[in-house]
Formats: sequence, structure tokens, C-alpha cells
Amino acid sequence: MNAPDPFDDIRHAVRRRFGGAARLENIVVPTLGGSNRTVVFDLVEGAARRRLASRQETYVAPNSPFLPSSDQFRLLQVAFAHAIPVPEPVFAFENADGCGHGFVTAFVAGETMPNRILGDAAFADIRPRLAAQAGRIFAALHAIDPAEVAFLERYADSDDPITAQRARLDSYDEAHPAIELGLRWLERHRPPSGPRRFLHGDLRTGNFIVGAGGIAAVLDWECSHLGAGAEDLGWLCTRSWRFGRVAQPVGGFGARADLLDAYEAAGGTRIDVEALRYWEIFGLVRWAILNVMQAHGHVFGGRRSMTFAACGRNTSMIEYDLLMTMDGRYD
Amino acid sequence: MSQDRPTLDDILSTVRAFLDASSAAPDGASRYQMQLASYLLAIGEREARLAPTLDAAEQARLAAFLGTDGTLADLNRRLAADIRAGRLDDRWTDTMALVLSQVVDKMTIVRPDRLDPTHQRS
Repeated sequence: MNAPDPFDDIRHAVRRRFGGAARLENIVVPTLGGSNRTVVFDLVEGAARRRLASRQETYVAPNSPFLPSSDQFRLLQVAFAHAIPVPEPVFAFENADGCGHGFVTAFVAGETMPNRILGDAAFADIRPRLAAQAGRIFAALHAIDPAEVAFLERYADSDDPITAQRARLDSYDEAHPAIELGLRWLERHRPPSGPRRFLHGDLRTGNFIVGAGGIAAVLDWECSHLGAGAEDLGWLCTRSWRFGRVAQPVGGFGARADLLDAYEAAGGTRIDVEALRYWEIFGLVRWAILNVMQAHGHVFGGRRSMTFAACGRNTSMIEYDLLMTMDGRYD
Repeated sequence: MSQDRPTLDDILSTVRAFLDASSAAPDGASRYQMQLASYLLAIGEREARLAPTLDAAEQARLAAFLGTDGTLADLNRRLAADIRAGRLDDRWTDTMALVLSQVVDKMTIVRPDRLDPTHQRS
């Protein structure tokens, strides 16, 4: 008797759509970690062969701030239709597939590891081009009519980002004076409200694939919402996402002016550096709260691991960056 | 200093559980997990050594700043609530300095190498 094949669920889902003769070959499970199961495989139909990637949710926290897979798949469809670089969405899992929640996309080859993108000699010629590329991607994304993704209205971050972060912090029930100072500062320095855009919400180094031509695909749409365009750009510049290359504010690879100029040249609204800095401070507050969340899941959520324990204590590092940035000592 | 979750006991038991599990399966532990175990134990060592002194000093600073007494946890909740309610807006600079000193204390235990030289303990 053969052992059960761990990929039977995906094979079943593929055959429901592509016929009983469809085969999976060259199956690889990348060790990416995270709270998803990723499986990469060739879908073979007769003479046709296509490399695909399946992503299945393996853990959902009760008060998760992340979009369900079904909504992420809809966003990929909208983004793909507007020629935003994303992995082409192929199909979303349904109940009858027995695969849980998730979806299948085209596989995009390239690098996502921040330290390799920011440090390896192989990317030396590509790095100087990434900030302007990101600016153009943001401009194209923010030009999409928010009515096409109106379902994002129901998420708290689309309503008011500061209120949403405060509510999240309260749900973890741990006193953080530094985060409170950040939230209070953000509240007292609110920029005038402008048009609301379709935001990616988590476009930063590590969440896009870099190929020979630069950014080949933008991943991880689970934080998408509606809001000010500058919020998206500020997140990419948030100090934590420079991975130690702090003198390169844009993702550890570029200058703010390159990002902002490319954004404007591609049709985006002019954003000044001070507005960008506001959202970098917001980014530090948001990232600190996400780490408080990981510690809460470790201590109370039955999701114990050394990684999440370390995240909890790393909150102080983000708070330090936050206070030093608010104080003007960090750029 | 009122450290963030998890507690020192929790950190030590988390790492011990990992080491127990990996000694049963010696090939199972990745380099990354071993580095993480070492990182967490180093936090534990510094906390055991420094926390009593840092905590007492922080409690005294907080009590003086807020003009009230209480446990360190109570005082921190009070400080957080006062900041949120805007009751410290007119003492912004002093509040920033106080909170920075708390965060520097936390970092002294968690990641002293990441502190600016002006904040490192000699």
C-alpha cells in the first residue's frame, strides 16, 4: 500500500478544472515559512506545460488583520487586468477542492530575499533602478478606479488607518507608551484628506520578486485597503524595510526623490518629502503593533514558536527607531 | 523597565522546548533556529542580570513624572492612557525623553548593539 500523496489535494483541484488527464510534475515546496503552504509545480496537459504556484492558508488568527485568500485573489485579478506586475491569477480554491483557503497563480522566477536583493553583486546593476520602478508601479496601481475594489471598503484600515491601528493595539492589551506617542503624534499631524486610492498596503522589500529586469511581480496583497497614496510609498521607505541599509531610505536600495519623481512622472499626485515622512512614522507604528500581535499569538494564541517570541521582544527595536525618527535623529 | 511580552520565564521555556525537541531529532534544527535560540537565551541572560536595577530606576522615574505611586505595570498603563488622552500634550518634550529612556532600557536587554552610542551603557 502506498503512502498518501501529500499533493493529492492540489492534484484533485487541478483535475476538476483541467480534466482527469492533467498531471503535476516537478513539484517543489519552497521553505519560505510564514503562515502559508506554498507548492510549486508544472501543470502538464498533453504537450502543454505551465509552471504554477499554489498558496494555501494554514493558520488564521481569530482577530487576524489580514484579508482572506478569496479577496486577495480578486485583487490579483484586478491588478493583473491593469498590467500591474503580479503573478497571473489562475484559480481560487473552492470548498469542493478540499484544499482549504488559497489560490493558484503562475510561477514567477526571481529573488525575494531582502539580503540578497540588497547585498548580492548579481543585483548591483538592478538596485539603482528599483526605486523608480516602484514609483511607476504605485502610480499605475493608484490610478485604478477604487470602485473596482469597492469590497475593500469594509476593512477598518480603509475607514481610518489611525483608528484601525489603535483598535488592534487595544485588542492585544499590552501598554506601549512609545506606540501611544507615535499614534498621538500621527493624530496631531494628520495630513489634509485627499482622494482615496487602491493601496497594496504591504509593498516593501521582501514582498516583491526581482528578476533580470527588476521588479517582476508584486506579492502579498493581504493588507490591501483604500487610503492616501502616500501611505503606500511611506511603507516602502519605513526604516525597518531597509534591512540595515539605512542610508537608502527606499527599501534599502534607493533615494526618496527617485521614488517620488517617478511616481509623479507616471501620473501620480505630487507627494512632498514631509508627507512621505509622516507615513514612514505611521509605518513604524504599524510594524511595532504587528510585532505586538505576534507576541500575543505566542503567549495567548496557542501559536508558540521562538520566532514569534523574538518578534515580541523586537517590538522595542521598532519603538526605538520610531522615537529616534520622531526626534529627527534618524532619517 | 516593563518588558514587552513574552516574560523571561516564557522565553526560557520556549527555548528549552525547542532544544528538547531538536535533541530528539538532531538533524531537524536549522541554522536559523539555532541562532534564534541563542538570541533568546542572550536576552534572558541580560534580563536576569540587569532587570532589577533598571526596573527600580524606571519605577522611580515614572512615579515622579506622573506624581502618583503604583506598580510598574500600573504606572505604564497610566502613562499610555495619559498620552492617548492628550493629557501630556503640553509636556511633549519631557514625555518623549521619559519614553525614550524606557525604550533604551528595553533595548539594553533585547538588542544593546542596535542602540546609538549615546544610549549604550558603558
